[in-house]
Amino acid sequence: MLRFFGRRLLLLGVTLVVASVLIFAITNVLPGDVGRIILGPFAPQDAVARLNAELGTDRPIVIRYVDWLTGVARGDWGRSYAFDTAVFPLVVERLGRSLTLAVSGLVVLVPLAVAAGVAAARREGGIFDRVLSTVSLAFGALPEFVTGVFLILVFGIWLGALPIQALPPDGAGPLTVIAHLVLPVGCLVLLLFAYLFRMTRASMIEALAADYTRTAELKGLPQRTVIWHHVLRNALLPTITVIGAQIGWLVGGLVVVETLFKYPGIGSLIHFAATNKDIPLLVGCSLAITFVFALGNLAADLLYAILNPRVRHGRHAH
Amino acid sequence: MVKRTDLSPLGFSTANSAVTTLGVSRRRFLAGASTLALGCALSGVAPWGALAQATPKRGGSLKVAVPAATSIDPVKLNSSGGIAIVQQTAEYLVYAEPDLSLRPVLATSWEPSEGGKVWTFKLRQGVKFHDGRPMGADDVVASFQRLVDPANASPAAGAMPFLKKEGIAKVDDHTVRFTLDRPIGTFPYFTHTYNCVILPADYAGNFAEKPIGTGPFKLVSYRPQEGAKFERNTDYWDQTKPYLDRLEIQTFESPQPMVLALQSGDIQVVQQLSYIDAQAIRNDSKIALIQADAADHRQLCMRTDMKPFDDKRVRQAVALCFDRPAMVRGLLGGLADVGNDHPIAPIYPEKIKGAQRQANIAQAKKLLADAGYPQGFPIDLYTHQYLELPQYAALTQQMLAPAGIKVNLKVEPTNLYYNHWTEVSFGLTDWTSRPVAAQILAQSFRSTAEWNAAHWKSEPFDALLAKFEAEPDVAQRGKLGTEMAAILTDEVPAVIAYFNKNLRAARTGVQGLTGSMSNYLDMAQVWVES
Amino acid sequence: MAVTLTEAGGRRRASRRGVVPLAVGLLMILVWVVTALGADWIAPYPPADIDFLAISQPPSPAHWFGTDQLGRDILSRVIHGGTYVLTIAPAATLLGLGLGAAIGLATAWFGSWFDEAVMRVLDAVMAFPIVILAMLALTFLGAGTGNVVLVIGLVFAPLIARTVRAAALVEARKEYVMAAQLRGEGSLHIMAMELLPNVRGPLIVEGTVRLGYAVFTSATLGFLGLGVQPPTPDWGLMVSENQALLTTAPWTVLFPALAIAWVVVAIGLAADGLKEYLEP
Repeated sequence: MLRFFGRRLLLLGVTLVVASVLIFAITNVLPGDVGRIILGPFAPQDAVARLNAELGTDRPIVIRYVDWLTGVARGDWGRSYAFDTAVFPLVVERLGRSLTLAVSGLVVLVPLAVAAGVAAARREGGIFDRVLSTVSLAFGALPEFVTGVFLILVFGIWLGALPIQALPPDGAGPLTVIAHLVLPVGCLVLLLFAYLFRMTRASMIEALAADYTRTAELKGLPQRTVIWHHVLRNALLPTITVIGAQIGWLVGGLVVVETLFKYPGIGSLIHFAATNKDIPLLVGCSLAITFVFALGNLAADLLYAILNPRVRHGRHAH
Repeated sequence: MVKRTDLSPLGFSTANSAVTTLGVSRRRFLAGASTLALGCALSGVAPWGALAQATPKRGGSLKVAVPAATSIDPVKLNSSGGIAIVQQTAEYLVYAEPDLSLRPVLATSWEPSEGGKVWTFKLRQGVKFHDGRPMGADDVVASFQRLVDPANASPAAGAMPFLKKEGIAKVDDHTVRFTLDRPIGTFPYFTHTYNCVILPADYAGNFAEKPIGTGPFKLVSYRPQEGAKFERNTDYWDQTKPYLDRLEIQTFESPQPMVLALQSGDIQVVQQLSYIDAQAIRNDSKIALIQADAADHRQLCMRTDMKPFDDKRVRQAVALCFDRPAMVRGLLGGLADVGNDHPIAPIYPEKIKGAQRQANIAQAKKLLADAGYPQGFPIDLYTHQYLELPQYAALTQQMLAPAGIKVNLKVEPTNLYYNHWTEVSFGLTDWTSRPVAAQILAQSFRSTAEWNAAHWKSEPFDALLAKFEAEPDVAQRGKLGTEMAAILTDEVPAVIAYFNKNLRAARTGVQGLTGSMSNYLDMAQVWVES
Repeated sequence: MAVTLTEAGGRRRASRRGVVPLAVGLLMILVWVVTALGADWIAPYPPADIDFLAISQPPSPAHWFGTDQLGRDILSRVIHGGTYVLTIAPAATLLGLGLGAAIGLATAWFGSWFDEAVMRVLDAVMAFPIVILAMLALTFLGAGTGNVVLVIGLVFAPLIARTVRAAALVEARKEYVMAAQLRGEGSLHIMAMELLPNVRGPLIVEGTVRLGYAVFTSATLGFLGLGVQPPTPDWGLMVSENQALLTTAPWTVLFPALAIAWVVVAIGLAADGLKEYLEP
């Protein structure tokens, strides 16, 4: 297990380097002029050229990449073009914030969705199953800004019960922080519930029909034991993978939720960096998000390996 | 007291006509309040929302929503959010009031000589920067030299092409002289360009870390994509101001969360919002809308050097297809003045005379037939995802169809559009207000202008424009402007169908907030009624 | 909704299991296929017709679904706007499913260094903001709707691959796979004929849920200049375009959103029903 873990950490380094090369190469070929974007459409062309020279965006891409890499080796992630501020502290602050939201979302979502999935699978095609399957799919098909604005209108404005801005005031206590996170978390749950619920349900249905379940039932084990020890253990494997992959998305992909609830996390930051061709910021954000993606997947794989020890080693000697 | 303004077209047009007929001379130093009172006496509606009837109260705090900000370095600054943040901390020499009268700020008076080629500004005495050092001529000279120095890549250099580093000189500790390349009759207004705040002579380009200005508020902290926090500058040169103890400016990446936060009371002021976004709060009794006349407009540019728009008759035909009053009502709920294909908006003191172009499809068809397009022609129209531009484009498609012009829409993301907006043969571009008409004429229609998207060249126009820029007398400029407008209306390098008005919103209890042509934000005058 | 029709008794009679949700789902989709095909005859107004005398009107006898900020008839736009949701979104989802299933099955089956290498590359690609991929496609491939399918498919594939891989890893250990291997079946045969049918559960989930996400991803791409763009009547675009009117003219958002939810639910029902129907 330790060797597995160690090798994956090593590979994580390779993944990050690959990601940084890709981002540099791709951003370089995208249309748009950095100086023009920063100074605005009506700035004179010579000022734009001057700024590009100042920022060094007119130099060859390879030199810029090497420059950036040596900077990172020295702990300097460069400065954002547009915000004119150091990339690293900004990315770290935003990453922490996004992780807070992602983890809060998962803490609410996972138990709810798994429990509902298990319940629905035990009566496949039953009323509970059909209603929840349909309603959750419908909610999942609504975009975040529709459910989000709805939540804000009902709970923030009409009832006035909850804060609509997710960022708590400086030095707020834990209760205040939680209150601020309720609406965005609710929005996330509505969006992702269908996915996790249906995934758990599907795997549960299969596990319930599997041979080992019948064997356990024939042995006369109580249903509780069968479900907890035999079925769930196998049924949760795809769900765990899905959750692992969702962590990365929850951290890096929540542009709409972050904007709507005024909770600037790394999702809005990378979106800004991408639309403004702010390469140092974009690479910084990408690496942070890749890191989270890779760690989320690693955690899922580890958990998977614990529940299903046979997958750890390279199998299938053909 | 802030009065609610009704969003109906009628309410706006009455308020508007009363104000714009004042014809305030720009060199008269009118105090803002008396102009406002006059405007209101005539119309019965507070056009800019602010009436200084109640006595201002000291204390309290406010949260203001502004659009996204990027860098807040005043030299490179371009984002609306960044401009609003910097304006609380650093100041201009002069400030253009909503009626375009100039209020002395760091300059107390100014005088042209040599026919407007040389301008001498007297500076206010006893002004201190936030670090305690006195503000003087050296700082003003250094600030302007920094802006026009090509080495610094400031957008301001483009706004003042006639000002060179060598032309800025200190006369004494409180007098600065600007010697221009050519006479500019309205030069003081150019010192009100958003980059032109006065910073200490030794400013090192690090405004976010060391925000030192002379303004009413001290910048305590700035965070990208979040906003800025301010506290009252107790040493402000106008000891009666500011009224607020604390101020927070929050930046928003999109308008809808702003409006929701205003409705919930999380913020109290929205610095600028579009007509569409204002819909949600127009019937909210706790929120007042404040409107300001502006010169913002949309240019539907036609490449005059390419088929089919190389023929003047084709361009005229396009202009004749638009039902402008219907557009103003339909796209903007009446929140605009009808335009006549030239950019000299009614708010400018140069009053333009000339017959308003009306929709006339029959004549448009005839012109097209004369030009060799009896069946019309297909054309791609480019614009971008911003404000009402996509709707304007959809409307263009519909309004040009009866004349046989089949418009294919290319609604692009903003950054993509600005990569080629001066090259497309048919493009719809948003232009924001400039404090003087000459600026916008020079930037978009001078033969040599970088942003002449129509690629239109007219020697008589260029000659008139040079005279217009130099002319210090408003009446004379009005005559020259009318001649230029006539050329533009006849040649139609661009259809200019309307001039937008600016909107801002505040919760009741917020007092003294004025609208602004340039969406400038002056929070020194604002107080809170408990 | 007809979901309650499937009584518990149906579970025992294997031949009828799933028929009702399958039929209901298919019927619900058929409604939109018919309206989309006959849109020109069914829609009461041309979908792009701007009417300044009827701006932002709530539902009325003249405009059943109300009008938008340019006075366009929402019902007509909804009737015309289903084409892309019914074509682009399923196509993109299918592409993502195909790619994802292929990668997931191959990595699970071959394992070892191949699995490791592919999964780590996917780690590096997963974090790419979709904006970047969209701009890349726009620059090099153009704005065509086919490229929308490509971008969405590529965005979905890594996530689907991970899910399929996780499910296939469990299956690959089972006796029937071993048996096939002993019979001398090739890898391709085992992956396609043995593993694939047994990971259909998670695949169907990915397909049904991602279909909804695909609709809005294609709308987002439209705003970025890729594929179908405003003011084309399209459900996803209509919802996004009218976002600002959600509080003042909710019908402009509500009806296209309901239409999308309708299709997603219908496909979910049909997929569930089909799976239950085919179950041994």
